[in-house]
Amino acid sequence: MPDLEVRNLSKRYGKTVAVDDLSFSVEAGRVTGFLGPNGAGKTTTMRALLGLLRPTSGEALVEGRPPVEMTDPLRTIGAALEATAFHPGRSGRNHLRTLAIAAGIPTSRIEEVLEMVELKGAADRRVKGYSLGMRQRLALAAALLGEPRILILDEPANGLDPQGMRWLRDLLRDQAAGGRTVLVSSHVLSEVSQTADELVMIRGGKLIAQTSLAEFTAGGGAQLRVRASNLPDLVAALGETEATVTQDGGEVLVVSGVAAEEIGDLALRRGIAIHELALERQSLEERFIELMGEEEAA
Amino acid sequence: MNLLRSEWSKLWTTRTTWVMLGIALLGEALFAGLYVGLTSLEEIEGPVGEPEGLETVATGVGLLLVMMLVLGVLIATTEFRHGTASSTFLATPKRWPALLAKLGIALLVGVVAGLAYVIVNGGLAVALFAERGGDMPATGDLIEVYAGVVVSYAVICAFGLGVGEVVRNQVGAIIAAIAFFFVLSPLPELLPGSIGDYFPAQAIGSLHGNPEGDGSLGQVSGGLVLAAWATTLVALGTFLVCRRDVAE
Repeated sequence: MPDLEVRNLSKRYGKTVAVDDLSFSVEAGRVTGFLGPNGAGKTTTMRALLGLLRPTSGEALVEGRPPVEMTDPLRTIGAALEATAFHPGRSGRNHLRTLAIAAGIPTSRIEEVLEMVELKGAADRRVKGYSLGMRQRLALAAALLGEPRILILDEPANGLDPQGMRWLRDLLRDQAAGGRTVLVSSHVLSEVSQTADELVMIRGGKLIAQTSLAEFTAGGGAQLRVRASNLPDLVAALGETEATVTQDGGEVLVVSGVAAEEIGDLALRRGIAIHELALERQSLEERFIELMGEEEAA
Repeated sequence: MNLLRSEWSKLWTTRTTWVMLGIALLGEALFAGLYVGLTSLEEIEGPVGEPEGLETVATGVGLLLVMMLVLGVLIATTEFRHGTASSTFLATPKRWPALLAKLGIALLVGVVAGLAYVIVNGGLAVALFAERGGDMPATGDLIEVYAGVVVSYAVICAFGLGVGEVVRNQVGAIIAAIAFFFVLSPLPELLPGSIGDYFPAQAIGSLHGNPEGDGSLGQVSGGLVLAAWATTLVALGTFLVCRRDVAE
């Protein structure tokens, strides 16, 4: 049984379709990146998984059951939804206190999570004076309060400086390594590409792909950049293979669909000297944008 | 019990509550001091020499009444305004237990405010009145009046909570609660018959033991009528909050 599961989930607000027949599942022990451009339906999906909104149809399940049936919610799921959801006049420590008391969590745990998110020094200040990064840390502290089995984090990297990002990555990795389920959303792939094991990509409320990061990386259209002594002959030779060839500015061929070894062997047989044969891996970000863009065109 | 403690801590960890209660109590103290200190004894005691006047002073409760109504609204709406409703309902996914705890807190804070009122305003008024050699009302009468005040604060705070849960928008809910309580609900008094007695404004008059006009309900019935209004609103509010999406 997956820890988090969305089954044919749809959510409509009047005529606007926020989530459209979405299905995916999230497993324990790994970090799952939940990707999509702004307005793709990430937050809506997460809120449905937390029982904060009612699906129009379909269901969102936590450990196989609807979230409202959770018996010990803060020890099951910890969530950081948005960095602005605090009373500006309440101190960070008191915010955590109200939650800890409600869930019967010992208040000593507050100091632990404040330590974890490195917010101890500012804990007694009112949230009003916090930077966005500090609010993100406080939201994370709230999520970690109950030592939950599942973490749902909505754009936790927003407002973090590079050090903060690194700290967040380590934290998420640790949590996943400890056997927890981590679902973390972002609209920028690079934020999660160093952390996530699994990717769920949505756009317009629909699932585009669910894949492991390794698969996604490998599947990227690898291209070969070729320069040679006799380009026309090489093009003709490649024409007899599966290769797709484009000529880039006359001097360079961009070839995909065949391995580098095959091109080398082919050139040797025809007596063509290879001047350059380089693998050009399309960046993940480009591929991500392309994937998101394709759907838009369709 | 945990939820009650959590809501209690929410209430007192922001300045709003302290400021509102402080201002209201200061205002009430000023009112009692000025009124009892400056008005002639005959006027306070009333024409027949019966000390009804002091009871009127003791129930000069308008400021705190408004504050308790607004505080009730705030207990409900602050969480929606600042988005903390999400955290609250993550800890209590069924939602209604948290709302029940809020009701408990609204009633409790009403009682606390009522007791503070009795000490500050009541104490001051009675002390001043006695100091000036006024004819004291019977202790039993005073206790009845004060009990009515304490109950009315608790119930009106719950009333505000109900309005806040139904409306959710903070400013809208405050306006709605005040407009309904102080502007709309006194209107049926103008109608013939006793229908006006069953609206909050008159009911609270009865509860305070100083009914205006004829055919008013007794103190207890007035209190029950008011409680019925508050219960209806809180029930409706709870139903709606449990059903509706928590958008922010």
